[in-house]
Amino acid sequence: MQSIEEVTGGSFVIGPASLYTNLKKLLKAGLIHEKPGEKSNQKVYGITSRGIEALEKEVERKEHMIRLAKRALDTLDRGEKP
Amino acid sequence: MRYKYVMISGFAFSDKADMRKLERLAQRGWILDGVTSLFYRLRKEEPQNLQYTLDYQSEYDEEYFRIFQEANWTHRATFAEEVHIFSAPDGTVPIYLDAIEESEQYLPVIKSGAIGGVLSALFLIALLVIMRFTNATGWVGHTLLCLLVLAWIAFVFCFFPCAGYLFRRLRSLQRERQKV
Repeated sequence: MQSIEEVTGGSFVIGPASLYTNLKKLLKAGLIHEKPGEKSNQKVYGITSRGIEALEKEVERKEHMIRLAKRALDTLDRGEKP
Repeated sequence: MRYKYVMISGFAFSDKADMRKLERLAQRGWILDGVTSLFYRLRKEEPQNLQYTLDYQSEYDEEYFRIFQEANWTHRATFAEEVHIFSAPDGTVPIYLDAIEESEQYLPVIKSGAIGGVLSALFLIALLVIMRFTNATGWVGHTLLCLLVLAWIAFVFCFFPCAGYLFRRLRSLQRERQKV
């Protein structure tokens, strides 16, 4: 959770219940897999090839949405008052 | 060590109110220590400003509690192997930040309540039909009446909590739709 906050510069925060349920969902869907951790009670997860594929598709989808949104913004007549 | 017991109001309808009550008690030094089938058990400690929350998770392991601990949420009690109560200092990040995700935790409870409610309702109807057409008297009549009461109790205990959680889930979905 702390590392998510650090990586995203504090713009994305996740609660422990959300993290646990999402980890279980990703594991069930075969998008991540369990790896042995440094400590015996620690679980480490790695992304699977299926997970990478799903992530790439999602990034592509989001990029497409952003392109469409930018195009829509460009066509707006900003001088016009509502 | 001093303990006191406070009645559980029912998780399906007033869990939030119960959590606020536990917070007020923590300010007076009564900290949640466990739960029985009807009561919260509180232990006398130093007064603390705590926030309490509740999570539904039937498929949990050590990692579940470790993740909560890392986020500063201390496990206080588990009810019926499914309802977990946690506490944290004021200002700690909530266990869910998304209302839809939060309401997803009720889905297994809604499902089991619905199955139990339908089965007990069918049993109830079958008993009423049998009683109507057989006019059973004596010990058979008494047995049927006892079964009818038991089926009614089972129906009430399945249907109403299920309706409560379903209402909560629908309210979360509606709130999220209004945000958009």
